[in-house]
Amino acid sequence: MFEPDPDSDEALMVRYAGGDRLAARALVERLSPRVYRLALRLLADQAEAEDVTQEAMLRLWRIAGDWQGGGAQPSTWLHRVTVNLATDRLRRRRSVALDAVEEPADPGPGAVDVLIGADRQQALDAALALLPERQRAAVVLRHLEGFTNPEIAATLGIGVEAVESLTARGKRRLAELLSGRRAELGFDR
Amino acid sequence: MSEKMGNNRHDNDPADGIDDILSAARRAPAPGPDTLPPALRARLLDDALAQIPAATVPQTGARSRPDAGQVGLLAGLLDRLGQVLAGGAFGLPGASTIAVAGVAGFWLGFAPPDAAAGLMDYFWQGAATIDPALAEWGTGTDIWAADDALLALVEDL
Repeated sequence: MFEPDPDSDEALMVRYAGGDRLAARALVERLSPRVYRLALRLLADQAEAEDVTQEAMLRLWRIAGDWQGGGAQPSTWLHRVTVNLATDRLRRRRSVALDAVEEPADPGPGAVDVLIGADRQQALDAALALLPERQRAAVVLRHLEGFTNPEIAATLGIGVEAVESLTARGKRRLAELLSGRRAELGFDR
Repeated sequence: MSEKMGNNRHDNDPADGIDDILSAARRAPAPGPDTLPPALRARLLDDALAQIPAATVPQTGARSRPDAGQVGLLAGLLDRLGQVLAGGAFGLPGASTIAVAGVAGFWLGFAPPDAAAGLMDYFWQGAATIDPALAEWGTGTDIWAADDALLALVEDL
């Protein structure tokens, strides 16, 4: 018989399903920040990221009673749901262009580095938005969220070799998209 | 951070230079707070607590089953209930018998089988020997139309 570690996410799920309010709070504190950050990386939109986080967590609560112990971790399941929800939203707005990144308006001397940092992030977000959904998810999970390839494979429901291929192609495509902006983004200073 | 994107050794493979952008993005403050926005956290907690009553018993082995003592106690209570309802002296086997009889009676009230209909006919024929008007009850007559006959029968008793 499967017995989860008492401190594990699975044990919290069992306690939650049994009506434990403290377990609910613990799961929110433990799981949702990363879900939110992942959604924010994928969507680059705070309001949408919040909506996706709420929807993903809501789905977690609803399946808590049917959770099968000994299989995938709740966090892995949750990340998969998050990626799928974010992907659905990305498909609805594929018109984001790299040129849409706004130019900083007359920055002062001390603010240059800050603006360059913010501009890099905006440029990266815009470039990520142009990648196919799977590539984007793989690149975000691997290079921004620090997932291992097996973790990404479990999250996306694909093989490790496919993950390697997706991340490699995604990185190459990102580089192509950003290659004309090196100086603008402060990499040639 | 080493600004390698402009280095010549990366110029041949554009994918090499992207590592700096990605690592910078990973090290930099996330595009938003690492901690949850307070309003979002509040919504998540509300959802979590609201869904607790809807949660069902999980199928993992972690949830403890009722032990033998608990099961025995429940069975004992049911049997005790059965004895009390039977007056404690008629030897009814237990509450399960009463429950089955109750359910069967309830079902017969709504969907009597043909045999039960025959039994009812027999009953009304017998009643007709006491008062012919009572036999009409068994053939779809409005029972309230015959309440005088019923009252008369009760008074005779």
